[in-house]
Amino acid sequence: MFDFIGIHANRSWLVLLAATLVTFSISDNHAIGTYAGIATLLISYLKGRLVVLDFMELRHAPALWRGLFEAWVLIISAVLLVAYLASTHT
Amino acid sequence: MDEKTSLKFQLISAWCGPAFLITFVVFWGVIGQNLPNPSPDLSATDLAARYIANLNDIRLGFIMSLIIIVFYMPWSALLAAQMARIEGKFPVMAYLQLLGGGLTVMVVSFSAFFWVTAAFRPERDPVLIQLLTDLGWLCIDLQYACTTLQMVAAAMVGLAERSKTPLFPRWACFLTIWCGLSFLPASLTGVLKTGPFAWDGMLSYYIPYFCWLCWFTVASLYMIKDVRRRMRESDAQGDTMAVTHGATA
Amino acid sequence: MSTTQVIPPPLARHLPGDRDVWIFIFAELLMFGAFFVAYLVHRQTSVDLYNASQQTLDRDLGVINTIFLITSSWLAVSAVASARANRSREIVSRLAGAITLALAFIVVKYFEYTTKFAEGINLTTNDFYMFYFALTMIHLAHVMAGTVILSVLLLNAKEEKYHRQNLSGLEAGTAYWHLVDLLWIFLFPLLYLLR
Repeated sequence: MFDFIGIHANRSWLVLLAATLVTFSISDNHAIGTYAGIATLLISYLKGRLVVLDFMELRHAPALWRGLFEAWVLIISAVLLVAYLASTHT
Repeated sequence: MDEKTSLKFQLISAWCGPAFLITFVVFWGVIGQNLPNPSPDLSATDLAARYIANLNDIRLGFIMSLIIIVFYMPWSALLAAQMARIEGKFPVMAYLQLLGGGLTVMVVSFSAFFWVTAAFRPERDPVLIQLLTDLGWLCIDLQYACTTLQMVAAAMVGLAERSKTPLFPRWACFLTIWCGLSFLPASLTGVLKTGPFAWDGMLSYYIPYFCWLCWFTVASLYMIKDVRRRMRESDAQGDTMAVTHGATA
Repeated sequence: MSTTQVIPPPLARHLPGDRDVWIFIFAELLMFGAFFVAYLVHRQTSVDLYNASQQTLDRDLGVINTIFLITSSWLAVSAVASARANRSREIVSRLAGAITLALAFIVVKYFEYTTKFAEGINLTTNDFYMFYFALTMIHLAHVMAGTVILSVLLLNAKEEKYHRQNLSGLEAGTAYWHLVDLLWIFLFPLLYLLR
C-alpha cells in the first residue's frame, strides 16, 4: 500500500498547508494583536525550513549547502521579526 | 595575417576590457558626478543649478565617456570570436553577443550625449535641462535588455563548452546570468521618482551597475587568460616546428 | 607491524541537481533578501500608511496563491521521487500538475492587479503600493521563468529522459521552482499580513 504519510515530502506538504491556514486565520485577530504577527513569522520560519529541507531536499545535502540555506531562512525570519516588532513600537 | 599578429590584436582587445572599466568608472562615475547620480525627484531649477555648479566636471566626464565607451567594442568583438570558435559552423550566439555589445555601446553613448547637450547651454530653461537629463537616464536604464542578452548569450556558450580548457568556468556563467537578470528592477525607473527603484536607488542603480561591473571584470580576466593560453600554445607549436626543422636541416 | 583500524566512511551526503544552479539560487535568495530589507526600512518611516494600504489587499487571493505554490512545489518534488523510482509516466503527470498550479497562480495575480488598476491604484499611488507591485511583479517574473523551466522538464520527461541514473537536470529545474515557492512564503506575510 502506498504510504502517503510515510514519505517526508508528503508529510511536509500537509504541514505547510495547515500552517498556511493557521497564519491566515490568526492574521486579522485583533484580540491577540502583535502576537499574531510574531506567530506568523515563526510559522513562516518553520515553513521556509520545510521547503529547504524536504522540497529542495537539502536535508541530506553536504553541511555547507544545508547550512547556507537554513541560515538564510533563519536570518530573514529574524530580520523580519525585529523590524516588525520595531514598527509596532512607533 | 600570421597567427602571432592576430593573437597580439586579440590580447589588446582583451585588455580593452580592464582599460574601459577603469576609465569608465573614473570619467562617467566620478568626474561626471554620477556617484551619487542626480535624483529624478530634483526640481528643474535644482537640477540646472547642479549642472552649473559642476559644469566643467560634467562636460569632461561625459565627453571622455563618449570616447572611452568604444573600448567595449573590441572587447565584445574578441568575445564573439572566442564564442564562434566554441560554437563552430553556426555561431549564432556569438553574433547575438556581438549585436548586444554594439547596442550597449549605443545605449550608453546616447545617454552620455544627452547629458553633454544639457551642459552645452547651461543658461537654457531648466525644464529643458531636466528633459535632457531624463532622456539620458531613461535611455540607459530602460534599454538594459540588449546588455542582458549579450551576457546571457555568452553564458549559454560558456555552459555548453565541453573542452579541457574552457573559456569560462561554470560558476562564472551562472554569475553572468544572475548579473544580467539583476537589471530587471531598472525598468521601474520609467515610472518611479523616489525610493529604491528610482534611477538613483539601491535596487535600480547601485546593485545592477555594480553587478555589471563584476561580470565585466570576471569575463575580462578569463578572456585574457584564454588569449594568453593560446599564445603559449602557438609559441610551443612554433618551437616544435623549429626543432623538427632544425633536426632535418 | 601494526594493523590500521578501518574507519567506516561517513554517510554519503549528496547535493541534488547541479551545484552551479544552487549558487544561482542562493544569489537570488540574497537579492530578494535585499528587497525585503528595503521594504522594511522604508516601512519604518510610515508604518500607519503601510498598514492602512495593506488592508486593501485581497488576503484570500494571497492565501489561495500560497496554497497553489506549496502544492505545485510538492508535485515537483514528487516528480523527482517518481524519477528515482523509474516511474516515467508519473513524472509527466506530476510536472503537468505543477505547471497547472503555476498558471493558476499567474491568473490569480492577473485578477489581483487588474482589480487594483480598475480602482485607480498602481505603483505610483504610494510607497506601500510601489513595493507591493514591484516585489510581486519581480516575483511573478520568476514564477513565469520557473513555469518555462518546468515546461522544458515536462517535454524531456515525455521523452522518458529522466530515470534514476539521469536525475540532475530534473532536480536542478525543480530546485529553481522551490526557490520561487520559498520566496513567496516570506513575501506573502510580509506584504499581506504583517501589521
